[in-house]
Amino acid sequence: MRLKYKMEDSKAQQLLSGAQRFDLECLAEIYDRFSPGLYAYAMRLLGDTAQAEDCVAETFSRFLRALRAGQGPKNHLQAYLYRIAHNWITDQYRRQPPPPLNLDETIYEDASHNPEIQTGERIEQRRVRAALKLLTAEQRQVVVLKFIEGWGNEEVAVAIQKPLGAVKALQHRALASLRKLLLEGETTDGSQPRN
Amino acid sequence: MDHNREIDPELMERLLQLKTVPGRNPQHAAKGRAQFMQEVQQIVAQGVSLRENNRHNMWKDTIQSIFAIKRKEQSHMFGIMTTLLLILGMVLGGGGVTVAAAQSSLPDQALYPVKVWSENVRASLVTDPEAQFDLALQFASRRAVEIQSMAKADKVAPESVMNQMQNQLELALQIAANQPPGIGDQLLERARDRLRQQDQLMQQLETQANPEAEAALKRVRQMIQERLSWVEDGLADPNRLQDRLRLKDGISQITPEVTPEETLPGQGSTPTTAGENGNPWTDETPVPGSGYGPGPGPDATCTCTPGSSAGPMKTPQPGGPNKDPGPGGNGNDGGNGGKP
Repeated sequence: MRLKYKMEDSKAQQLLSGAQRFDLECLAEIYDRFSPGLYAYAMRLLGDTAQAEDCVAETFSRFLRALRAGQGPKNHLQAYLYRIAHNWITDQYRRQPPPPLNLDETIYEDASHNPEIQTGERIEQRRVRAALKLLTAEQRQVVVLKFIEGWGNEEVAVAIQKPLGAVKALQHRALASLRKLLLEGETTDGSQPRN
Repeated sequence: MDHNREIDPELMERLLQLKTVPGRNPQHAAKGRAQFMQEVQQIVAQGVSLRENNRHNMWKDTIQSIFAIKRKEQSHMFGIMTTLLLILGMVLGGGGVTVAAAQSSLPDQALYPVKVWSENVRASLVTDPEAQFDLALQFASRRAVEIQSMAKADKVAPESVMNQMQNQLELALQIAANQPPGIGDQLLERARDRLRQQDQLMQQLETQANPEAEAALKRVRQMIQERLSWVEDGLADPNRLQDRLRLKDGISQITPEVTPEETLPGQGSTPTTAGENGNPWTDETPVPGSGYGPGPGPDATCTCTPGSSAGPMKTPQPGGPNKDPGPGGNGNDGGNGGKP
């Protein structure tokens, strides 16, 4: 696993060097390599295809602007791209009204009016997404990258630009909050799922 | 990577609900890629070189990279402020280090002007008369130490160093003379102690120094002894010290500047504080044996070159050392220098 990661990292570094020279092939490969993952990441957090497409487009556009300005990443290209995407998503969250404290009521109510999300799985997805939205931006980033995207602690630390200890602390607090929001709210009477 | 042990399985199960996402619309994906590549080609067509403002700011990036500043996603203003603070720190810190390093420099060293400049700055910042007095005495002592250090190295301190020492001493005496009697006496006693110490040190060095340095030390000693006598006078009668200082100021003001062309052969340049008999350190009757004033003429062992422009600090060459020039002078005495 570690070897594979290092090989991928080495390849990403080569691509990044090419991108800094505005090599078309390298840039195209970067897009092909990372855009599917970024789209999935945005979809998981936003649940909207149009917004997810916008997120991918804006992430790569900002990446190009950074390269043009002589800035951009010197390494850890994947972490850099996910960081841009995460910031864009956080901005979208800020523009939207906050989710209700009691997650269940509004979600089920909303689902009843929308045939598209009436299946149990989609309702559950919305519930989890709403719970993640109630976390801080960094807590959300840690939980999603680590437990959904399957990144290691070191990679997450690079992505959020924090030390390893901070990642663990963020994870601990995030999971405690999620437990209250998603599990305790369900096992109790459901009246107070928010901490 | 197994993270399951770090998370409640039930919670993990909930989170994994998000793992499944609907596939991306291929048309949308192709459109997104095309847009990206179009943006890339536009940039390439405009030229890949950095934008003008970034080229002009390259120095900032270079400095930041030297100090390994981690480039997070910072605001533009943060970067500018950091760079300015760094430069300011380097300038002030570097200047401070230079000034500190200059404090032990000698007059023949490159950092000496920095030392004198820093002393002037320090003196200009002090307003309390007693502190001014202490500083003046301290700076005079520094000059004395410099003269001694150079003498130990068989060198002669430049004229300007001796002038500075004299000026600082007179400034200290002037401040003391302007104080009320009680305070003025205390200051004068401090000046007396300091002058005595310096005189003793100079005397000890005289025996070890080479003839040139010895002559210079003698002259400094004479100046110190003269100022010491002023202090004694001031302690006995403050008005006498005032008179001395007034007289000194008056002489300085009425003594015309002598241009090099007007200088007598062998006399060299005339210090602005020169006494009446050509000794720059005294305006009193020359002391026999001091090497100044009229005398029977130069020592037989000392041959003075007519037309020599040796200044008052220099012993005429050749002729060799004259450890005891005796009354009369050795060619440095104003008036008959250069005459056989």
